[in-house]
Amino acid sequence: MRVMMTAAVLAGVGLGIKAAADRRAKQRDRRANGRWLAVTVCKPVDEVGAEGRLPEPLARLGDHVETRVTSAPADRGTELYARPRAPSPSGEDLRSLRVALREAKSIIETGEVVQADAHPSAHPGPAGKLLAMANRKAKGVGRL
Amino acid sequence: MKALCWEGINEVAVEHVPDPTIQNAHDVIVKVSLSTACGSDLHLLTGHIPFMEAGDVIGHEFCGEVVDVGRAVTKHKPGDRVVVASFIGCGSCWYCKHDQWSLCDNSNTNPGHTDLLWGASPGGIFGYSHAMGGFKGSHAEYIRVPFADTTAFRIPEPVSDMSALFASDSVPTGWMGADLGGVQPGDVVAVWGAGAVGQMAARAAQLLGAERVVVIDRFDYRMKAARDAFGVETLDYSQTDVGAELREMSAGRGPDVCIEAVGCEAHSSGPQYVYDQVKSKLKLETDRPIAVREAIQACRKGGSVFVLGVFTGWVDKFPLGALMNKGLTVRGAQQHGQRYIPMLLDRIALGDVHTDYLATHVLPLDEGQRGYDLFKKKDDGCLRTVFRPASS
Repeated sequence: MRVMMTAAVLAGVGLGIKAAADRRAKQRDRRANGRWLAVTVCKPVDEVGAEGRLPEPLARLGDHVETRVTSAPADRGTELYARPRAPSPSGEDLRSLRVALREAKSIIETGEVVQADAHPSAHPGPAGKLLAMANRKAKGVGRL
Repeated sequence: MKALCWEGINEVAVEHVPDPTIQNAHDVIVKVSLSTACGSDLHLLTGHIPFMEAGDVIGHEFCGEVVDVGRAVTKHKPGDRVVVASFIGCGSCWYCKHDQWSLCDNSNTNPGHTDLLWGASPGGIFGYSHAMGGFKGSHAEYIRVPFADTTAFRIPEPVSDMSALFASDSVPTGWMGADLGGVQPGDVVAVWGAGAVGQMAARAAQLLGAERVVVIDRFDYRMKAARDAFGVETLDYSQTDVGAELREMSAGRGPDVCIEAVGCEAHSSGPQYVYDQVKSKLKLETDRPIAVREAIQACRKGGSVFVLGVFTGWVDKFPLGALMNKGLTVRGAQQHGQRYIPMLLDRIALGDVHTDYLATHVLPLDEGQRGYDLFKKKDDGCLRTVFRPASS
């Protein structure tokens, strides 16, 4: 029991730090509205945005985002930029855009988006449930 | 199937969990024949890495037999014996194409966690927390291997599973430390840590031409194993002044290359250890970088320090002055296994690298808790606990 309580406390501390980081990320998102988000795709330009076509995760966002595609320096491939046309005050659209950019890059480079293993833990406990919530958001946050 | 799961601080247990299935076109399913505990697992067990859920399957260093393949897999078929790199590499991103496989852009399913912690996310790894992808680990009867064409390697016929097992992580990690640390013929190389990775780094340094290789630890049986296996020299840091010994062994210069294979929960004797213990307990630093400090201090002017041990966050009293004023090169990395595994399997087949002796305790999964206790407490001469899931 003591061990489980220690684990829960540690997980709680970790998640508290994570929550604070998420708050800072949201503040950053608000400040970043209007800034381009970008990924560098390890493919030539014509395989990234040929004739204005973009892969499904980005295309799905339709006219809500504007994109630009340029050749990256040296052997780095192609720079794929995107930003919301009308940024929301909450920054939620930036999180959707990060997911779309990351998935687009993965699909163009590998042909797929790797999935987390199915069948998560059957008894994650309270701390694990909090962590699972953070995991669900993890593709929409970060430095991108 | 049976799997060994993390249940909380220093607590593991065997659970019945659903069998893995093919989820992506590049996946294979491997029936695990052998899976070893790794020193870095101890950071999970101690709660040092908080991104774990009770019930997560652990283990990341393993080999086995392919039993199912996804439709896009071209290099593997059912029946193949394979050893699997602990880091999952897509093979298509810029980092994989430049042989920096543990930095893969596409294999971590939760990139936001480490993006926020470290400024960028490394690749995914089996059984090593949700910050590193949340993939299930290898202490199980079966495991799903994503991007299998570039993550799993066929084991050459003369190499046994037990020899190949350590080509999954400890051998390539050690080799990387010597290779990217820049070991040259004639060098004096010091390795902190006589665990499996440290011993493999020492062997790699020998094979890359080092004149003198010194392994530093405090456990007699581990240092003896290194001496017996490869004829390296050893120093017991609890009994001697390591810096003075290394200066004498290198005629006053200091080692040309220092390889740290200890990690974030380092031990030492003296007040420094107490200081780091207090700071880490108070959460004023996350990791104890004792061996890194010593390596930087001991290294010759213009030399190279490679950090192989796993670190998670922030450290205190980092000797930046020594690093800068001595003109050192300091590098670190999680293992770029795919870069080295084929070459290392050939070397294992040729007898250049012996690995079987590392498996001091071979146990069924049902003895998982005992296996980790032996490994953590360094009891009964334990170098590595190896699990045989099929015999559970």
